[in-house]
Amino acid sequence: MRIQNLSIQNFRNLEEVSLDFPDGPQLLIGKNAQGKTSLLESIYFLATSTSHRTRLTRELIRARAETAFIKADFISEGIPHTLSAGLDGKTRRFRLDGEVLQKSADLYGHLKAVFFSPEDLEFITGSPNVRRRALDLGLCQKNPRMIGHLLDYRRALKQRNAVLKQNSRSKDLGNLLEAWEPLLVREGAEVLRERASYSLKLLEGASVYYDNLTQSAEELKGEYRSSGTREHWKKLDDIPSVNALQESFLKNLRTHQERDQAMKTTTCGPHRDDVVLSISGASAHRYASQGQKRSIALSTKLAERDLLVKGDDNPILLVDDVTHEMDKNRCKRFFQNILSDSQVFLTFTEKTALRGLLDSCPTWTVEAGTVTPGK
Amino acid sequence: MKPLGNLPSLDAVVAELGKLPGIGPKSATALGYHLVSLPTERVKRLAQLLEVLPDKIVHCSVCGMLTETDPCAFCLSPSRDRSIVCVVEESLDALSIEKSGAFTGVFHVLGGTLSPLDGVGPAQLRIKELLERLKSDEIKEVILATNPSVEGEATASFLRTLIADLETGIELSRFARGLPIGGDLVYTDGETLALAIQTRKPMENQ
Repeated sequence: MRIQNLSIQNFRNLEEVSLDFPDGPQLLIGKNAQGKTSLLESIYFLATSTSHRTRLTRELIRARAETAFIKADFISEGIPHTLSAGLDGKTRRFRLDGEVLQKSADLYGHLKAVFFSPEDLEFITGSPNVRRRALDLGLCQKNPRMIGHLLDYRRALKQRNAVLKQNSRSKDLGNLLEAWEPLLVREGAEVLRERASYSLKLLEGASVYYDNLTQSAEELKGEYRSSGTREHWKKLDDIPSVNALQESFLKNLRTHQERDQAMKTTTCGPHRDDVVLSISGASAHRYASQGQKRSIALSTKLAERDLLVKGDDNPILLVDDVTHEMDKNRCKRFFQNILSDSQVFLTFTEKTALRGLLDSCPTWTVEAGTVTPGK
Repeated sequence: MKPLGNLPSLDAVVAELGKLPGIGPKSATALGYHLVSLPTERVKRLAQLLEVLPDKIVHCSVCGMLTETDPCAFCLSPSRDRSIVCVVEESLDALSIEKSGAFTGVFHVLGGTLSPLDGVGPAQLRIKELLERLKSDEIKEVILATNPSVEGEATASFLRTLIADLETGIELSRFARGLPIGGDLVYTDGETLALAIQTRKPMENQ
């Protein structure tokens, strides 16, 4: 997968950008707050309709502008496509090859991208919510069918929670709650099965990269903790079939109905799941050093890249300022890993940070919301 | 589109038109200006028709369908099969089913779906009326024809429990889901196709 041309108007702090990318890794160089990250975000936005920085459409549009526009011409599996996004304060409209995409589910899977960001550390240090979001973004890019299941699950969950909040004294409460169960269980089991499989494959891959990056005796491991079934899974074979998951999720929903009524929210299900990471047996969340966390984050992202590879088609890698904390050897091994078959966009604050590793790559200068070639 | 302010009567009409579903600010403005350009009689006729509409159209006291005579034509017709009731969300759904020509039973219009997020619970729907009907009439089968959306599915599931609790032995069914007639596999979305594969039927001997 390769982006040939990218045009941006008023997205984040970029004013007007139109770039043709020659082959090779693209280096984006500029001081802080000039628009480097915005450029990477624009590409990720075309891939997922989300930004890791904000959930508000309004904040994606440059200050004092009414609308924003992004367009990319790219080659996917040998075929040229054009994907565009138009945003105003309320709506986002995506077009693939000129045709409007009606559902967000239709967007996923066309342009695939992996975002390496300094904020990736939150995958280790953040709340379970952060990890689920990161996992779901990867999962939906790999398997676009899942976005529909996720949305239906969330919708049914919100409705069931609304019942719990509104009807605490209704004699119909039992029936009203059970009305949402078939959907919750059907969609929930689908999400659970796919997300757990994806997570365990991701951790398996990350473990290998961690070994390679750190060249140490430490071992990165992890497990998927399912709240809906009260089970922990370490290997793919541990994950039960969809039918078994439905059965045990339903059983737990029923068991915890009283607690749900007291808490006025649904307390078990895939929306409460987590992935727990450990290094040589110790919780990464609690005990890992900053350097170890950084290495886990990079390893996980590299594993995500591998999971999104389809045939000869590699996802686009967006690498935002992640190397400044790494020593030269680790940096070198990281670049060896990413500078293979994927198109890579890398940001740096200054050219000296390249340390001779990327001297011959196409370079772009990002300054005050504009991007110009060379430096 | 922001009104210029010099045509307050027209602006008021445009504002009302813009509240209708599927009509954005531009269409509302275009419609408003079009109305002004029409011969006076046509605009007045439209206004008169609209004025009496809320009084003429009522909900059938039996099935909840929109009608001008109560009970509605479906509920009065001697040729309808009263042993089978098709439960739908809105009158328009009943109309679509009627157009298919495949259904000869009677309808029950709920007036929406359960949606606690929007403050719609059983009391806001014609559910009590449905249960009363099922107790008194000679009904053998109920088709729960709510939409296959999250809310439609939950409403069907809710009704299934209530109807089973009546212990009347009424048979419950739900529409099959799958490929549209004259459809093309290539253009069918993955989820529908997956469902059609799961619920495939053996081929009958010709």
